[in-house]
Amino acid sequence: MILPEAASEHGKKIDQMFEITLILTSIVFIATHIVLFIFTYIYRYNKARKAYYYPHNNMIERIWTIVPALVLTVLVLMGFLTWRSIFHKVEDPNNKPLSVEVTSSQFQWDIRYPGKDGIVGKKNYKLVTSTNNLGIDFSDRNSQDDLVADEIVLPVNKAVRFTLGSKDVIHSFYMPHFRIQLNTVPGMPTYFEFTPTITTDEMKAKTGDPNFHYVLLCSKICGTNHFNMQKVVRIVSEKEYEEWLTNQKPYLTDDLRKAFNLPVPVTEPAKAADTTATASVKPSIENQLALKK
Amino acid sequence: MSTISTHDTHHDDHGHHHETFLTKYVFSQDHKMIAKQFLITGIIMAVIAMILSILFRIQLAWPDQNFPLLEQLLGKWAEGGRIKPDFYLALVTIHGTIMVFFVLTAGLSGTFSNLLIPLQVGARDMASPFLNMLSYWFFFAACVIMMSSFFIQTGPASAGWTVYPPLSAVPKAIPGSGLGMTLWLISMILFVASSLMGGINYVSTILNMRTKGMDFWKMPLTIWAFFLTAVLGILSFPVLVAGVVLLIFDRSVGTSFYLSDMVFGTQIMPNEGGSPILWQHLFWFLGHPEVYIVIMPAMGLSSEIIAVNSRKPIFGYHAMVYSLIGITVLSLIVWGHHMFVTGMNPFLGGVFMITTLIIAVPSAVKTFNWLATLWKGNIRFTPGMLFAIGMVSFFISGGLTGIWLGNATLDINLHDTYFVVAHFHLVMGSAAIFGMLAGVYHWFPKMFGRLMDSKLAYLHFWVTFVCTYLVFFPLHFLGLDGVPRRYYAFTEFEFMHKWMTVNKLVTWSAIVAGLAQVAFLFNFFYSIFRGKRAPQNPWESNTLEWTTPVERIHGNWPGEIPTVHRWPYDYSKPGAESDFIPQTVPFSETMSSNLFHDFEGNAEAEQIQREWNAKNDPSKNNE
Repeated sequence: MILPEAASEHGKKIDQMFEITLILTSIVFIATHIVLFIFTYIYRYNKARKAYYYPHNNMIERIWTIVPALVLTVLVLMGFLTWRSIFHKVEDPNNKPLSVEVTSSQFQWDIRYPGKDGIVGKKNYKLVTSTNNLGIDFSDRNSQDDLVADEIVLPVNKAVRFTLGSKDVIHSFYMPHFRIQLNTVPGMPTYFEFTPTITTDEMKAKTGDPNFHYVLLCSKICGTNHFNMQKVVRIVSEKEYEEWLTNQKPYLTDDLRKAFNLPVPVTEPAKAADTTATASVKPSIENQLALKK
Repeated sequence: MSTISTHDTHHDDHGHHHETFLTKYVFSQDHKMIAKQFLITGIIMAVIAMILSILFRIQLAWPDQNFPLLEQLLGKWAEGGRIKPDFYLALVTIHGTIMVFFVLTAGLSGTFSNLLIPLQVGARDMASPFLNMLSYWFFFAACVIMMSSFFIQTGPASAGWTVYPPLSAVPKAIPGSGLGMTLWLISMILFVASSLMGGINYVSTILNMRTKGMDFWKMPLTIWAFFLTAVLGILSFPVLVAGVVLLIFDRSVGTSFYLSDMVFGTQIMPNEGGSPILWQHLFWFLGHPEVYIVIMPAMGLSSEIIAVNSRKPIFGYHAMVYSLIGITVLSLIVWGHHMFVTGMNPFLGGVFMITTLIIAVPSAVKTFNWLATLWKGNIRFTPGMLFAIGMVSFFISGGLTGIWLGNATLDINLHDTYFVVAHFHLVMGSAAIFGMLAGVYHWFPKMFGRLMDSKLAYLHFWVTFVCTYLVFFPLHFLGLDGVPRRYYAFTEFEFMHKWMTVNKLVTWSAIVAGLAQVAFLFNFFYSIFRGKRAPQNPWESNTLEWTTPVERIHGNWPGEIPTVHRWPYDYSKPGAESDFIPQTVPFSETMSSNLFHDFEGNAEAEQIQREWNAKNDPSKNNE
């Protein structure tokens, strides 16, 4: 097909509509062009002939007002219902979607996973410093276990809700394979919930491309490196995901603990992880540079 | 610059007041001269915008190659012969701005509204010739200021032609948002002032200065289109000025209308409480009507040209007018479809989707009516006619993809991709340009008293038509594959590599299309001086402008302004001697072809006709 295969639940619905619209518009496109070119050919100038005086025909005009109106009504209804189903999710308290926060800035994406509490904590742009580049508010308990990640890894067939934000200008969170696009706006969080349905490995097999990977790109003009603002997205099995998650480091480092007057946990078992985490914020940027080749 | 080429080689000055070179060619208040000023300035701007587009197309096709010539031309913006990313964005931005505002708004409406409104409604000039002159000079100043931004250190505005803040508001975000952006905003204010002065003039002339007999339902579709375009401009352009002024405040005075919660590096910006979305609402409140401001004059011109050259009345004249009115009204309530994925409340997205898809109905009606006009016509393939048919083709091709993009659900995946680029370049870019070129070829004799060479015109048409499709049609597929627009190079993402060869095809087609315009430019400027002399009514057309003398005198008609008796589309009327009956011919002179319908319920006239029919052609009384 023309579109790459949809790898999300709502993406399949979008593609269905896409196909219906494609078929309808193609028919109109071809039919009108055939008519246009045939008429111009058949009725080309001939001295002996006189054109047919035919100023109007209300019946015909009514038909070609009403028929497009009906077809468009169908398209609008389908579009409206699908649109609602994508953006108005009913929250199921027993099966909460996974929450992931993505923050854009010139020209990178920062990913934050919630810790064990499942909640991504508060942040405030006024708290941004060189060590706290997202301005995370660590006085909020929910923030303290948040994890830093240098790629987006998601379990297959599980709903995920992205909270999108931007630090500087407007960017756009665009993942074509999942049929997701939403602007990230400074000062206004935006949300997109979806369920990925095909793992990266399955997609490699389907496309026959061993190098296939899902991409996240920026689709809103944002400055010099707009054309190279990428992040790898991996869809994996639930098990792989859990495994990957345990390897991710928390945002909260000893330095930040001091900055927020939080007790530096000498006895806590997590301490070992913390010491390495101090250095892990920087590598996330380096990794991104490495991706650019 | 526009004055050089508008020499009137055989002017017939009635000498009722002194005209110097300055008052005749520069600060002219004659609507015909102002139209030519708009046209020639528009053509020059179009050539500039086209060269800009070829520059960035070269970058897209050969991102890894050096062209030393580029460095010589562009200096530091193409160091080492390769266009820099910032400059690439500047090229895209200024190309868009020039094409949308300076060429397709001022160049199109400015030219043809000025030329045709007084001539086709039967007026000696515009309601306010002085305001009309100011309108041109404000436009000229706007052009000069916009172009001057190429000669400053930080370069022209480069936040895209929609200049979304914060990118456009914070100079730190991109160099073009420094002085270049300030110039962009000043230029835009002058431009809006110009188009308002023009618009108010067009509306008041059409409302107040129609000649005797020219009621609304006898106006050619061109006039209807210009009228509704002007009304739309008057309603929507001021909103852009409001938006622009607030942006100037944010940039220069430190207010926060559009800005909040920003950090550049680790520098926390003081702005608080604004919303970038507000700009988008204000911008698109003009921005969407703007695309209809661009296309409606092209529709009007094409409708007229198609009817004249098919030698048939336009099919469904009333439906054509009502659909224009429908488009005008609806275009004011669809702007949100540019904002489906900006984070605007999704409920609003649903509402705007409904209004957007409704607007496809009047557009469809217009298309079908054009096709029906061709049916059983006797089509003369004049250059103007070819371009008008091309306009219909592009309007269909680009309009249909509007149904995809207007659907919020499909827009999620297509927004800001090359699919959008393909869509609007076909439907408002190419269609409007073809409408404009159709108008230039058709009314050139009225402007300059001479004919353009038709062989060169055919060459121009075919190369441009084919290459335009070759440029824009493939871009749909890039968009479907998820390639975003305004990307400097396709080198960084693996999945885009496969499109590199397509990019080369597109760029080559753009270059060939660009060269084809040389044929037009030569034809245009050569014919002004050396073209074949035009007869008074070269296309055997019904409208009033062809009753004026070829010499194009000040005041348009030497004696009294003619009276209008009939609608402008009496082509190939059964019973008539020739296949056209100008609007100035009274029904008393065309007894053999009159229909009862023509008398609009005038019982006396019907009675006279009935008596005449009984005497000469009894079969006609049966109806």
